[in-house]
Amino acid sequence: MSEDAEPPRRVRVSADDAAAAESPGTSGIALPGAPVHEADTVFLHGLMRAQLRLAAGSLVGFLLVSLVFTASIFIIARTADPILFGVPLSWLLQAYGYYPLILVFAILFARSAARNERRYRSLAGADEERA
Amino acid sequence: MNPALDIAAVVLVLVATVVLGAMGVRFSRTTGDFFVASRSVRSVWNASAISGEYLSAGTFLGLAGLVLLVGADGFWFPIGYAAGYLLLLLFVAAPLRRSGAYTIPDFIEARLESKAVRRLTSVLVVVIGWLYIVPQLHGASLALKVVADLPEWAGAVVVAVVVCGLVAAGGMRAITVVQGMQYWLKLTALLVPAVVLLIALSGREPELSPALEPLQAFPVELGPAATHPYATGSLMLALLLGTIGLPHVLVRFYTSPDGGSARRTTVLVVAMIGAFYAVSGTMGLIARVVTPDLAHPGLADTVVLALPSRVLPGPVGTLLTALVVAGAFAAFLSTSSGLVVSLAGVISQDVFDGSVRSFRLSAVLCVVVPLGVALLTGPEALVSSVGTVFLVAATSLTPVILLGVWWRGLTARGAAAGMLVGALTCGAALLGSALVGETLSGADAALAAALLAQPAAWAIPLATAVVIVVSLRDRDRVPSRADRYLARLHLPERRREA
Repeated sequence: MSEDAEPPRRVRVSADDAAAAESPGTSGIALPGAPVHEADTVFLHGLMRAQLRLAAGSLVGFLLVSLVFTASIFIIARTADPILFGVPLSWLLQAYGYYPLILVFAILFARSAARNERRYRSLAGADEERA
Repeated sequence: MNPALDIAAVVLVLVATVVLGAMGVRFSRTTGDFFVASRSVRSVWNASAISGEYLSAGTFLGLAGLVLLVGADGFWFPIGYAAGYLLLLLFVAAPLRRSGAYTIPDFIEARLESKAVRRLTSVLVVVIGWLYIVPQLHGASLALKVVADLPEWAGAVVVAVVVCGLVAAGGMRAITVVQGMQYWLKLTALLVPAVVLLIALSGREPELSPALEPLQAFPVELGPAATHPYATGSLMLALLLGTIGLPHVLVRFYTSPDGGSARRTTVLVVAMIGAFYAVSGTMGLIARVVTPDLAHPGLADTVVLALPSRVLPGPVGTLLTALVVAGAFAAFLSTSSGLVVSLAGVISQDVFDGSVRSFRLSAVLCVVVPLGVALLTGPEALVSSVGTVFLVAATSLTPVILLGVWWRGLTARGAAAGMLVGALTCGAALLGSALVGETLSGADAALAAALLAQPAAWAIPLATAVVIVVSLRDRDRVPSRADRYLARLHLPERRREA
């Protein structure tokens, strides 16, 4: 290499400005690397609302059923409390009655939440196909 | 009771734990294995492991003891623990699995983009974990003292050494196998004695039975109708919401392959722990009939160990006692190891460099501190000690986690303020209850004592309100990627991969 040869020109190297590239005009729900579609935003917000509504509804339903169940135990304990297998019925209900209730609400919620997600997938999938 | 047989049962559990743990160690090679078992644990085995980890000394020994001591009010604890899993399922199970985080502080940092809030969360997680490990070590001390007359430090040291070695050697991958086994052992260790005792009691001649009559064993004044509405309601709120804030519970959902399987796992857990609590409650009912003489603080927690020999004084009773002892040790080991794994994950990332080596060092630190506390303090009522941990988690961490999953407007300042207010309020109320609760007198004394002893009903709303108000006043600082991260939490997996 001769001494008077010009040094190579400096080139600035940087990573892609991913944040800027992904920065959407909307509220920016896309995951890194995924394109942003208005329809996606609408569907996703719909899914979130549906899941929150489902969770809150399940909670309120569980609390109401539990309150009614607790009131029933209270009434049984205060009135005629029959003895079954040597134990008052109110004690047996308190010891064993709540767990099936909890399980039923858990199963119902899990099924409904999965259904909400399936519905979201089908809506979003149909939108992608149209696009 | 036969001390040699009981110690042999303990040794057998320890050997099974070490052997299964060693099998897990063979597969633990990556950082992901150590922290979250590479997120590849299937629903049934994961549910067994979660249930094994969740059912602690408090419920294995303490629940029957509490029913014996306080009556039907004792059943509210397991009801709250089980319903807590329902809330976990409803609001956070799938989103947290999708968060991509290893630990709660990871989640908080990713959601709020704040190192300071992450550090505060880590401190709370470690304190909650330590508070939870101490009753496990107390339970081990109590069990070995009762069945083998060993000094109180022995049980705590044995559990600490085994847990420390297991977690340091194999991390989450190793303990998932162990905890799954331990759930089934714990269930068997209570179910078999319960069934045998019920058969034995039902076939007894009335004149030979020392058992109490139903109305003596189950008096109305200790029955379901005697429940204190405020104290019970507040306790239930703490137990329901506290489950969401427990560090060793949340880390378990990170081991599921995806959000849907995290949800299915939670449903299985609800079924599994419900079955266990039903069996444990049966032991409490039997205890009220057979062992009213043990209904004293300090003694009541030993009733599950004493029942088989009381009802069946021969070799059958001795064998059943050994089985119960084995189950009790499985409870101490599984809960402690789950807690240590989650705490070690936090400490290794926040204090050290997050490597496998630092995870091992952190595991040792996570055991040594609660061991010191356990050796310096005596065994208290196991169930209420665990209940206090739920209360602290419910007031400090749960509001922030829930709002972090569902509310875009949460800010770092709001989260920090809420966590501090929740933790300090809860601590002050419990301290106040211990210092002045019993000295209060007058018409309002009972209510004041209940407000201090069970502060969840006002402390959780207060902490939540602080989070919301501070976040609203700080709305310019809503994290720039909040929408993006919320989308990640709620988007079904297949859609994300598409």
